Amino acid sequence: MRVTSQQMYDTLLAGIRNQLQVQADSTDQVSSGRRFSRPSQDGLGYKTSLDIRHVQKGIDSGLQAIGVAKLRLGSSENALSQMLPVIQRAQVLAVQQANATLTAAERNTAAVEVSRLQEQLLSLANQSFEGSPLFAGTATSSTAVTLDGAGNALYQGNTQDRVVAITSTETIATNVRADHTAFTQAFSSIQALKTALTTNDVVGIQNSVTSLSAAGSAMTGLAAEVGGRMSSVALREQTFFDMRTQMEARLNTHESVDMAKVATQLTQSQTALQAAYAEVTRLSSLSLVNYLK
Amino acid sequence: MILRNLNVAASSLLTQQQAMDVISQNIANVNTPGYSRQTAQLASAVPDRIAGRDFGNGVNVSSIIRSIDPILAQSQMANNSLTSLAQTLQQGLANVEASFGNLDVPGLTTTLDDFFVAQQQLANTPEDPISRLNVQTRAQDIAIRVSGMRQQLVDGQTAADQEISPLITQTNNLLDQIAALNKRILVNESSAQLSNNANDLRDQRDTAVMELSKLIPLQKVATNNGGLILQTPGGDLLVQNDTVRHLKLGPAIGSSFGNVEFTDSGLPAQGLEQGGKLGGLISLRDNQVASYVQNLDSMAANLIFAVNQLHTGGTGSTVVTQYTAAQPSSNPATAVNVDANIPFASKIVNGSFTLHVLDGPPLTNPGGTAINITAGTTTLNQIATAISAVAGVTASVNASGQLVVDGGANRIAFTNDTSNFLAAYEINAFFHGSSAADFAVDSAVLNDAGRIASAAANATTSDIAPADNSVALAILGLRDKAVSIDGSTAASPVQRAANLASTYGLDVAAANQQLSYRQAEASSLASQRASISGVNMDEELVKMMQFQRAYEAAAKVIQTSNQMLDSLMGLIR
Repeated sequence: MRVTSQQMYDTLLAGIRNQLQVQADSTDQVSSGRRFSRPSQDGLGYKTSLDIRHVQKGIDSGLQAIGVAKLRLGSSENALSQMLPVIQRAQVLAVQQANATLTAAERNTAAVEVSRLQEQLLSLANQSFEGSPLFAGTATSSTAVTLDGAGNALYQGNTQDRVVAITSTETIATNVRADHTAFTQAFSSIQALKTALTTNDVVGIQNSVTSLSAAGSAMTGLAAEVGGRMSSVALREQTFFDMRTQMEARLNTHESVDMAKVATQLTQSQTALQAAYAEVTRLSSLSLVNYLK
Repeated sequence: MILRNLNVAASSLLTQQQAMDVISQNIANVNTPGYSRQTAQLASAVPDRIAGRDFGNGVNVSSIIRSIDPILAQSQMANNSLTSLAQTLQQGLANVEASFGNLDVPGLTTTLDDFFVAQQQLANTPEDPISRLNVQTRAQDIAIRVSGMRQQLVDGQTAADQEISPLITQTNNLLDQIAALNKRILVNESSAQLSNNANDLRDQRDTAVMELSKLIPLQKVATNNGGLILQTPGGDLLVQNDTVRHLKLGPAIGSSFGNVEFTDSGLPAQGLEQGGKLGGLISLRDNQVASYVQNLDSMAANLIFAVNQLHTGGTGSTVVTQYTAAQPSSNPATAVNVDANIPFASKIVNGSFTLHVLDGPPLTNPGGTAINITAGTTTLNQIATAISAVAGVTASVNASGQLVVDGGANRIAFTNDTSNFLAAYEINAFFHGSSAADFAVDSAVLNDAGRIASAAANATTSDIAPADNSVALAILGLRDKAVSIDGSTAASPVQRAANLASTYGLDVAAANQQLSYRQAEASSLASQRASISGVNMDEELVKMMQFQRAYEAAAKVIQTSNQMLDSLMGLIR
C-alpha cells in the first residue's frame, strides 16, 4: 500500500482525538463517581437508575406511612390499655357491692364512683389523635360516643375504617372503632352496674360481675388485636428497611464507577497521547527534502 | 541522420519538461483537499520507416492521467452522507438533553414520584390541610415540568427546521456549481486537448459532490461523455449535465413542518431523510424529537384523564355549591361524545354519574340521583335538564358553552361516573388539558387546595366523612398502574416518563455508535484514497530526479550531435 505523509498525520490526529475523548470521559466519571449521569451516556442504565429511585421513593413514603400507622395504632392501644383498669375497677366494685349485707346507701355511694368510671370510659372512647376522634372511623367531625338520657352509649362515628396506604396498592387499617363489641359491652355493663347499684338490685349487681368480666375479656382481646397489628406493622417496617438497604446497595453497584479501571484507562490514555505528540514532531523531520539540500 | 538525432533529443527535452510540469503540479497540490495525483504517461513517437528499417522519432506525453478509484469515491460519498446524518443527529439530540434532566437534577420521573408521594401523604392524613397544599404544589410542579419539557423539545424541532432553509440554499449552490463544472468538463474534453482529460475540473467536481453528499444523500451516475447525473435516493433527478433542479422548503402543513420539495414541480424530494445533514435535521425534527413530543403528550393525556376520572367522583375539604365545567362545549345541542371542543369527548360511553345534594336539610336525595348518559344521543342541554330536575340544584349551559351546576346554598357532590362525562367536560377535575401542550392544574384546585378530592359521598346516605380517603387512595393507585386511553402501550405515568428518557438515551447511543462507525469508515476510506490518489512528496522528488537526469542526457545527445555536425562541417571546409 502506498503511504503518504498526509495519511500518517491523519492517523495520528484521529488517535489524539480518540485519546482526548477517553480523557474527557474518564475525568467526568472520576469527578462524579458515577458511570453515567445523563440519559445520553447509558440509555438503559439510566432507566434502571430511574426505576431504582422510583422504588426507593415508594419505600421512603411507605416508611413514612408506617410511621403514621404506628402512631395511630399506638394511641389506640394506649387508650384501650387505660380502659381495662376502669372496667376492672368496676368489676371490683360489683363484687364488693354484690355482698347482700350492704345497704342501699352504701350502694348509692358506689354508684357515684361507677358514674365517674363511666365518664372516664366515655372520655377514653372519645380520645383524639391529631385533633380527630380516634375511635369514630372516618367520621372525624363528631365525637365517637355519646350517652343518651338513659345512660346508654350511642356510637356517632361511621363504619369506615381509617386506612393508611403503605404502597400504592396496599393499605392497612390503623384504627379501632367504638362500635366494636368490646366498647359496647364495656359501656352496657357499666351502665347496668350503675343502674343496679342505684336501684339496690343485688341480682343485677351479681349479673354485672359476669358482664363486666366479659367486657374486660373483650377489651383485653381488642387490645391484644391492636398489639398484634402493631407487631405486623413493625414487621412490615423491618421489611421496608431491608428493602431500602438492598436498593441502596443495588443503586451503588449499578451507578458507581470502577475507580481502579478508570484510573488505569486515564494512565494508558496519557501514555498514548505522549507517544502521539512525540510522533508528530518526529514525522516532520522525515522527508527526502532534507537530503536534497 | 544527425538531424534526426537532434529531433529525437528535442522531443525528449520537451517531454521531460512536460513531465516535470506534472510533478510541479503534484507538489504544488500536496495539501489541496480532493486533489488526485497526476501522472504523465510517456510514449515513444511513431517511428519512420527508412530503407525497410524503423527509426524512432523520440518520445512524447501521450496523456496526463489522475489516479482515482471510482468505487472508492462512491463509497466515500455514501459514507459522507451517513457520517453527516449521524453527526447532525448526535448534535441535535445533545441540544434537547437538558429537557430530560439528569441523575443530579430532578427530571419528570422525580416530579411524578413526588406528586404520588404527596398523594400518599394526603391519603394518610386527609384532614391535614398541609397535605393538600403539598399535593397542589407537586401537581403544579408536574405542570411546569411537562410544559417546560415540551417547549424545550418543540424549540429543538423548530431549531432543526430553521436550519433546513440555509442548508437548502447551500445545496442549491453546490448543485449549480456541479452543473457548471459538468459543462466545462464536457467542453474541455470534447476539444482537442493534449491529454483529453480535464483532470483538475474533475477533481473540483468530485470535491463539490463530496461536499454535497455531506448535505444530502446522493446517487451518482457517470455518463460516457464525462457528464454526471445526480439523484436523490428516491430516484428524483437533481443534476444532469448542466441541468439543475433546485430544492425549496415547502409550507408548513397544519401543525407539522414543511417538506423539502422541488422548486419546479412542488413535489417532495424522496429519500432525503436517509443521509446528510439535511436528512439528519429532517429525521431529528420529524422522527426523534417528534416522537418524544408525542410520547410526552401521550403521558400527559393519560395522566390528565386517569386522575380526572377518579377526582371528578370525589370531594375535598371545601364546601362546594357550584361547579363549572372547565371544557366548554362547541354546541350543547349535539351529543356529548362527539363535541368537537371536548378533547376527550370520544371517551364518553353509555353510563351514568350520581349527583348528591347535601346540607338540605333534610336531605332530599340520600344516596344521590343517577344522571344517565347515552353515547351518541344525550346532549349537554339534556344533561342540564336532567340535573335541574333534582331537587335543590339547577344546571344550565352558559354563554361560553360551559355546564354550570348550581346548588344555591346546598353542597353538591358527584360520584360513580361510569360514563366519563365529568372527566371529559372537566367538572370537578384535578388537571386541565389534553396533552403536554396545555397541561395545567385545574384553576379551582390551583386557587383552593381544599378542592382536592380525597373523599367520596356515601353511596347510601350521601354523607361525606372528613377522614375518608377513598378517592385519594384511588388516585395514589395510579402510581404504578398501567393505563392507556389513547391506544398507546399501557404504562404507568412514571414508567412512561422513564421510557421517554431511556428512548432518548438509546437514540443518542445509536447516533454515537453510528457516528463512531462512520468516522472509522471515513478514516479508512480517506486512507485508501490517499494511498491511491494522494501525493507522496518523496515519490515526486525521486521522479523529479529521474526526469532531470533524462533531460540532461537528451541535452548531452544534442551536444554530441552538434559536435558530430561540427566534424562533418569541418570536412567540407
